[in-house]
Amino acid sequence: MEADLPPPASALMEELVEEVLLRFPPADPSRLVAAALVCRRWRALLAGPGFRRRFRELHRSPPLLGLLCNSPTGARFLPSSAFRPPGLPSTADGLLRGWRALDARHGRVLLRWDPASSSSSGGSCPPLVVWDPITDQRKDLPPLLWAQYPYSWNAAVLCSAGAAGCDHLDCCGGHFLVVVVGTNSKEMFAHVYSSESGAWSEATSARHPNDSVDFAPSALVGNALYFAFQMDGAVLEYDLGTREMAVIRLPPHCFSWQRIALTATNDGHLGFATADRSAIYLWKREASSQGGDAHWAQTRAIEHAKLLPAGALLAFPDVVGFVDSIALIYVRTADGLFTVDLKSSQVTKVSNDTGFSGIFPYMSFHTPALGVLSAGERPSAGA
Amino acid sequence: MASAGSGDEKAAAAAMITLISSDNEKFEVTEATATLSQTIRHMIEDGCTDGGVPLPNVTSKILARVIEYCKKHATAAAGEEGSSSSFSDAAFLEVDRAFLEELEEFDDAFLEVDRATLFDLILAANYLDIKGLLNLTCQKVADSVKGKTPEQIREMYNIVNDLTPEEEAEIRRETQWAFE
Repeated sequence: MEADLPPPASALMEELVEEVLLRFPPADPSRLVAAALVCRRWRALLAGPGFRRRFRELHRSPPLLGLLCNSPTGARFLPSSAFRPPGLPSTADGLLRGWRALDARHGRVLLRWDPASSSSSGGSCPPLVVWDPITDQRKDLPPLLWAQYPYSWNAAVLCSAGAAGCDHLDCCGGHFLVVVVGTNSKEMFAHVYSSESGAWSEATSARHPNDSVDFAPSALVGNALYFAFQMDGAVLEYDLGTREMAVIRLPPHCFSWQRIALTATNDGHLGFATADRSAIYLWKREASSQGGDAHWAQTRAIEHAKLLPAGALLAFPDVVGFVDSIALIYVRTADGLFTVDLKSSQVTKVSNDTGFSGIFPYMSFHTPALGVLSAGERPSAGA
Repeated sequence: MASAGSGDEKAAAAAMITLISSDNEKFEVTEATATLSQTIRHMIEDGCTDGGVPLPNVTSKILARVIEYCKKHATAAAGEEGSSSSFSDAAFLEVDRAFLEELEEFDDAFLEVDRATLFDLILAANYLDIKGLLNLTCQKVADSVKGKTPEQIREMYNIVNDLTPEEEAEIRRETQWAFE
């Protein structure tokens, strides 16, 4: 009987090709592009909103596409996959000349204008831009006037839904917040820009911590942002709901002067990584079971000698980034920048450069948005 | 009166279901094996399995393979449930790991089939709604086109290119980064 014959391959490709394409690896977006070039049907499928959504829901955790690395001449995009930001001309070697990365979160990158030649920007914060490297959309923020010139400041970008009401799988095109925190001679302060209102909030402030915030990646845990201080073994907490600021002490093991890299742990706590002469330590802040104050617990110690090549250990290494969702820490050594995979313990050299001042992992889903890519504004790279 | 709850459960666990392939071959399987298929689970819940479950879209050759998969995975699932209370944590983890490794080896060997069989397995997994098998087989096809150009993918899967040169150029322009 003809009806009993197994259907030919093309029938499968008609019916179930989406099930196959959904299982392409998010970390290699060029494979979806190759698939879009196979035939009209595949192209239409890949470009559709249904596929876009299902692909994100199936894979859940956005893949690492690259790293924003601040060098003296500007922020450089170091790719971790085949993806290259379409707005960065290949001739510029991924360099956004004159810009520095401040943060990368929920598919967006926060940049500040900081050309080597510019003089102090006086009474206002340097120009800030929120950039989506995939669509190359950029949004210039209105100037933020300082109430008083700050000793130190840092900033974060996040989806305006914060922790609630958004899974952040596909919110890049939506509204966002930028939070600027800092310290001046009187107090520590916070300003919030909302893309919905298009304006900066009034500053909120709190008692002076006698410390300076570091230009290092912040962490979003629950509905609060955390920024590292430079010296005193403490973290600035900014509650997005109450707009209150607090100082969280690090464990009392004198991490003074030692850089820490903050992260949101996979189980929803504040965590950090730091290093000393012999090892890298991972810590997590846990709620006390008795309902008292949260406390720090060391979750892991990894000896350098077991991980890094001898050449890298001539000076003792510095943890400059920690992303628990992809189980990676970034370590700056005498021999360049390395990643350590916390699951496999595999060490990979990312860059020979040691002259960078900050790194920001860029994670986002990238399904080819065919026919909707805007040819609009591009970040003013190169020039 | 005599039938206590546990007796009923035992009877249910041992209940057998008859599956009938498109070429009229009958397969006796336990309910635990059959209910890895959501389609069959719903039929059992609706009480429509007396006299066997006809599966007109699945040949005996493919149904035999599907049942082989379900048996293995049903056993693994039951093993995991049973072991959770009877081992200390460390021992449990050890058993757990052994289970997973064995299951992975089984899956790898299971996928050593020609392309036509693999496609038939995907269609059967979809029709019978067996999530694990659909995932396994679709992932295998997805992995098989790794590093392949669009032309090579078309050849592998006998697909006609109906994109115009202009449409191809447009895709390449919009995703230029992928070609550098």
